[in-house]
Amino acid sequence: MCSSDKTVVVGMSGGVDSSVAALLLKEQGYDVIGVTMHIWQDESPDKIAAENGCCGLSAVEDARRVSELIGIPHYVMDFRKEFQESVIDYFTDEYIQGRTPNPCIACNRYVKWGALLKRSKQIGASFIATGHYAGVDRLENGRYAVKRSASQKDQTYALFNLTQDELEHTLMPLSGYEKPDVRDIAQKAGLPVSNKRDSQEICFIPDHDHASFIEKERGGSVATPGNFVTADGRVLGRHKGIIHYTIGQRRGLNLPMGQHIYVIGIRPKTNEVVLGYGDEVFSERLKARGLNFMSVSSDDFPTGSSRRLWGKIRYRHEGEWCTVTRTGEDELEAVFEKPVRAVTPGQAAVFYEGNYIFAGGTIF
Amino acid sequence: MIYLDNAATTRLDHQAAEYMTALLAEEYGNPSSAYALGRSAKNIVESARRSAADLFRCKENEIFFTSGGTEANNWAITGVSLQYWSEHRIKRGHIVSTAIEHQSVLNALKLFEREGGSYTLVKPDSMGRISPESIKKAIRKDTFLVSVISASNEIGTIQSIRELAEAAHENGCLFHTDGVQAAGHIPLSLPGGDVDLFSASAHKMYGPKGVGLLYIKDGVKIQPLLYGGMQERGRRAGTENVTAIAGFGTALESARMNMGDEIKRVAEMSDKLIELLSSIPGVEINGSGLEENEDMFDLFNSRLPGIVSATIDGVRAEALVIALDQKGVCASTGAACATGAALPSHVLTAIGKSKEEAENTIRFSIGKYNRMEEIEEAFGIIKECVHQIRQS
Repeated sequence: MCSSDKTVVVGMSGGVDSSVAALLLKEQGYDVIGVTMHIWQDESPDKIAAENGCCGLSAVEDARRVSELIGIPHYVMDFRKEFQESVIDYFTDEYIQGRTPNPCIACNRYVKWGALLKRSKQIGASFIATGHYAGVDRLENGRYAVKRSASQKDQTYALFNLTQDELEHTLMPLSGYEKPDVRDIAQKAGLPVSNKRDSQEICFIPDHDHASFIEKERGGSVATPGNFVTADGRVLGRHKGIIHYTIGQRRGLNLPMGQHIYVIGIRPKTNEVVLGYGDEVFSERLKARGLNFMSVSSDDFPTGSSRRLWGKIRYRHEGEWCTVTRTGEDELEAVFEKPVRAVTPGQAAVFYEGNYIFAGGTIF
Repeated sequence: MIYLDNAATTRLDHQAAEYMTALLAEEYGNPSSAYALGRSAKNIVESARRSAADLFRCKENEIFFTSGGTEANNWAITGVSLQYWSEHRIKRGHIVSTAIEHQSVLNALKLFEREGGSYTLVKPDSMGRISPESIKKAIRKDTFLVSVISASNEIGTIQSIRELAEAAHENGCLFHTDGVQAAGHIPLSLPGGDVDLFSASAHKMYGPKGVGLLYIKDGVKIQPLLYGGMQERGRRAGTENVTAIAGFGTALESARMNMGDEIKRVAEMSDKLIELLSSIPGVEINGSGLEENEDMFDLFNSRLPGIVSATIDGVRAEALVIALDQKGVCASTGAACATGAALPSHVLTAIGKSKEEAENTIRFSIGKYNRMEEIEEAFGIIKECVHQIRQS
């Protein structure tokens, strides 16, 4: 059974999506191995007892119970080092440099796919699978590409950075399902997780206070107060340190400027936060680098090429038509047909052609 | 399935299983009751106590049954500390222990520290040996207890208990040894005042889970951990776990009768496994060597016969354990966190392994129910899995 093409490791968070993913694969005849990734760092008994995010001890127990019910072996693997280095350190560094990172993309790329796939092959699996609302297909041109889900919960945005080798060894059994279907399947199968709430947006910051998290990670000195300025350089007041702000933010500025003032830029070199009025937070174009080509190869879209694609600039962005031009080996520019709100350095720009991810990169 | 994790727990001795099964339904009496059913239960418990005294060559009234090794270790550390505090009327004092103890000792020491005491952990050499000199050096004026594990559950190294106890006694300290991994596997005789306190657990020596013992030498003062009835001569309250104690007794008896032969058989299998593993490039065996020895009472400074700890270059033990499980071989990393994830062990880092080497260290532990054919079959699977992991 070792190395059989039917052996798949399912990353099980203890939630309903990955539980149903494991169940569906088992029903399709795969040899399924459940693995819960131990990624959180704190291990004090109080914290373990109180853990209710997606990755705690109670989550492990849920995953173990589900595995028992559907009749698959379950293991916990230690990914704390990879998670710290590739996700938490990256997340912290990006904020300190005035960008707004997406830790889920880093986690998918380096931890869930990079590290888990390698270790899954070590234990004799040919594939890994997750409970993402997304699909993966082999296209006519021989490329593997992530397919958008019809579901409201489409999660393809955070998967733009996967390599061809990773996609070739990936199964996404929830492709084509809607969340209510998935809950229904879980309930009918008697899985004890059918009513669990959806996981947090940033699983390692359950209280959403990312600034406090960064200060705790790096010591209090990372947030140095500085000036709020306008685009033309007028000083408007003092800010608490750039890690507290993100492009498009309106709340928490504490300025007597009326309510329609937004963060439109962050300047880490001068420790300034740039503010502007409503229309200044919209823009027509963006540049991205750190490119990953998916439904086409890099050679299929050489420097100078242009194409009309559907672009998303953050996880919850609905998307907008744009013309994408490859402006260099590792650089592209997108010009949107209607201005998009809050183009944010550090976030990903992901471009779709039809239902598939065409390419993506990190906004700078 | 090939079970090579006898240091995690052992299969129940066949005779013990038979005896316990017979007792479970019928012998439901409370050993404290005056009537025949109670007296019968009492006899069962006392007979097990005799078996323990016979194996460890001590007096019956020096054996106290507990719920297991953890309770015995907790009791030794905490009970002696409470005694010291009540005699000195101040919550201070110092304990000397080592960096290769089990968590049930280390975490009891942390409690002791939180309550006002302090402790020093002595480091072993690269073989895992603790020298009497390093113990002497760590002892302070206010040290009242020295606690050293008899033999490491992870790398198998056996300590020179006599000399370590002497080092403690010379400096007016009591000496405790955690014998959970050693008891029943190597001769540990406790006469002549070498050791003041000694912990053992049934399920590491073919007895049932949920029972262990603390040997307390005559005259050693120690406070109880559990308060209630007068069981165990007033030192450990709670109705006796009669069936489990009975099974423990059978296992103790079996160890006494067969230990010599078993050491030989198990050591042969370990030697074979070591020989086979060493044929894989990049494998290092940890702990001290199991020297040829005529006198089986002089095994100290060598390794437990059943434990084989191997560091395998480029092979995370976590992956190897899972890959082996896929093919029906049970082995472990020796340490795990609450989630069941394998953790690099503090024992391995204490003997100078890097974090990565510790992550690449797996423990096979062989027991009396293993057969030589199993070792050879398991090795074939181990080799295949190591190859698979190195290829991926």
